[in-house]
Amino acid sequence: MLKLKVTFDEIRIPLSYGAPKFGIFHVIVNGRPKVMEIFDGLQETEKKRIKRLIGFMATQPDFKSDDLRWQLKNYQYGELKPRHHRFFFFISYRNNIVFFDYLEKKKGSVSDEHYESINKKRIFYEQEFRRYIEKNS
Amino acid sequence: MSKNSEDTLKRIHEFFSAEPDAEEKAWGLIHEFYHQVLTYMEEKHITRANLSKKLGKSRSAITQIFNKTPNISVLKMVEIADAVGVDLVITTRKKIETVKTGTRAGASQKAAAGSSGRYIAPPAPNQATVIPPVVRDRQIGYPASEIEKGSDNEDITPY
Repeated sequence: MLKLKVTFDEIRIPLSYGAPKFGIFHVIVNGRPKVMEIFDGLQETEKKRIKRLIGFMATQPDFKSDDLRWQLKNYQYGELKPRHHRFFFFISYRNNIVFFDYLEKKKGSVSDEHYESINKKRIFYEQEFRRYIEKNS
Repeated sequence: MSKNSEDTLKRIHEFFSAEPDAEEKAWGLIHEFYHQVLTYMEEKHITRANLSKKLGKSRSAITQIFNKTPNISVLKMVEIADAVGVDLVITTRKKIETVKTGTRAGASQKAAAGSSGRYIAPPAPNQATVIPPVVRDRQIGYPASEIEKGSDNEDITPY
């Protein structure tokens, strides 16, 4: 994990969505936007559904949706969960939402082991994000 | 960064910064509708079991309803709204602006935020929207109901 070269990229939402209260970032690992590569490959309608939801997340911090869990039980991260997609994010440092991992849910619920392993990644990416923000501010 | 990754990033930036088309606006209305319903249910302590009883549908049917598509019928929206005790009306952004702020259409975003602090996007001609039945002040942090364990993250401010 420590050999990974990690940076972050900020996504801008349309002005008509309203004034953002959160910045939206995603990870770039070894030069690849690993979460957004998956997003890019989704069907158009799915992408629009998720884009609009991310817009609400950025502008309405108490936004409620069955497609969104701001914080998972026992963990310091949340998930966007339209249909079988799981986009994981954490909120950190000066109100920024950072998408850092993706999982395609198969049959049944996502196991505790999966959530635990995603949490380890979250800890790593959150440290990297703090460094990134401090370096760039 | 490889050419492929650069292209992906470019597409992502263009996609996210593009102003919404009709389908995306439809998703916006649906997301907003369920946000209002879920907020009202939480405030009034209405469970999904209550809702299924009121609608005369099974719990799995309720789950299906909340597993939304942009093609939800107006009838279904009204049925859900009635079951939780919310009145839905359709109006335009222009009218909302006039009612809330007394400003003319096209006024600044700041003025459009109104006394509730709720942002109302700049009006588009003839654009219909659902008036939110519940308008609350916005606060930054996780919804209280979703915090199930104490947070030790200093950047998260629960309320």
